[in-house]
Amino acid sequence: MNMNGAHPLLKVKNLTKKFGDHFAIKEANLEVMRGERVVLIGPSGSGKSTLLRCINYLEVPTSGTVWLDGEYIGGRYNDDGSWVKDSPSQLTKKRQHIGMVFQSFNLFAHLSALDNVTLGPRWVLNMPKKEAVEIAQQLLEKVHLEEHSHKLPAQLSGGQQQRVAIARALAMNPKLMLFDEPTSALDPRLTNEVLDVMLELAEEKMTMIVVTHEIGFAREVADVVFFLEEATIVESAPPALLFSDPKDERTRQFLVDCNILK
Amino acid sequence: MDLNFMIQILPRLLRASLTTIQVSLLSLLLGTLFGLLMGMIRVLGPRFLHPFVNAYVTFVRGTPVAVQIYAAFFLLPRIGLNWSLFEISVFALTFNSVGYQIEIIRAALQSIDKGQHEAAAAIGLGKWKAMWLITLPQAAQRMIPPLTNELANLIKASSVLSIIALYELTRAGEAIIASTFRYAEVLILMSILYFLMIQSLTEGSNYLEKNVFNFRTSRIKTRKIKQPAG
Repeated sequence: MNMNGAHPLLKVKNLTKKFGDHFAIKEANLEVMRGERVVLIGPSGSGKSTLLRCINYLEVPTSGTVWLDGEYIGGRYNDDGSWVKDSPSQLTKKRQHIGMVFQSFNLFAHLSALDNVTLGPRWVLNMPKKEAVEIAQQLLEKVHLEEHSHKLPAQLSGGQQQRVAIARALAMNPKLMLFDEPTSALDPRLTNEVLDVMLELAEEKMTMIVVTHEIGFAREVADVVFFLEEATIVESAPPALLFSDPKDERTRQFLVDCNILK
Repeated sequence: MDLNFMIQILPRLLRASLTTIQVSLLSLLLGTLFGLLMGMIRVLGPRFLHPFVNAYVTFVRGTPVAVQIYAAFFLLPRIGLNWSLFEISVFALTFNSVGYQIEIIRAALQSIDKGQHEAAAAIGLGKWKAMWLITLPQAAQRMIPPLTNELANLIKASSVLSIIALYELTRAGEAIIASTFRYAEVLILMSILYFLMIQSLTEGSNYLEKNVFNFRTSRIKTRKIKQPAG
């Protein structure tokens, strides 16, 4: 995808995560350009979520590096091959550039929708309250929730909560957005609400990596789709190609099982 | 039973009850202050401090409050602290309460859903900021019922302060009994007063739980979409 000689925004190199003896993700390599929309698909347990969570070090990889826009996340290898780990405060600082949206929303349960969105700008970016509220209101408008800004998470539907979560992540003005099965906890109608917002983001050329089972979304939005199985990236291709003519037999089998391919 | 006698001694017992409440509430609040500090160290602080916190908890739980009160009474002056009886009493009960409150606070802090911490980390909050802004406010609601229980325990434990002659409710009752030998009236009044103190404070904390910390903690069950077997 490196057509105009641009540098990637994100480089994941030889990333491996083991839980005990079990590989959750094995030697994954991934490059994402600025403005590129990447979708990870694959069966449950194939390592998609782990890969995503390793990118902002919510999961600490067993080995491998994550590089975002000029700096390594979590740590890097020295010239002599030794591992230099980020201090907790370094890691904390770098994480603000990566927005994340979770399957279970994880809105701050004791804060209103508006306070959920302003918390990051106010306490991480040290923005004055007035300015943070202004930004938050714009973002809540963007996710069509301006009328619900005073409500607590428990008073919102799942779809609304997830849209607040998206606004919360966007409030940090991230370079990259990670979506970890953002619609898997939602019914089809609420799923569409959330996908619509993600679609708008994609149209604005937000760089995003989305783990999802929504093949329709992948088809419509993705620049590249990665197929993972058994902790390995099996292949990647633009959706039109991957969903019609996959190179690998495992991808083909998965798509046949999902009734996408005959 | 002599009602007139009861009415006659009531003011003395009420005054002593005030001391009981003062000692207990003060110990609870100071205990919460140190309990929060040590509880947070136990959850987030450097690992080398954990054994000290644990040892403290084990010590407090493993020794009777009477021994702790005697120890404060006899040992504090030995290290040059000429405190009043009231101050010694507050120290002893606080020392005791911190041991229990650490565990209450630790449990409440650790009960907050992992997703909340991950969301805080993902927007770039450090762990202490996340503790202060996210974990603690949510845990506070869960701490109230066990802390109410702890307050009831403190009010009852404060009766043991009579052994060092702090003039609280039990001491006052004992004194009246010693001079009049009228057990029944005094004991009945004491029981009623203890009951009323504990009951009204419990009601107060129920109010706090329902009206001050009244957000509902989200416990959304997540489900994964089933994939056809590959």
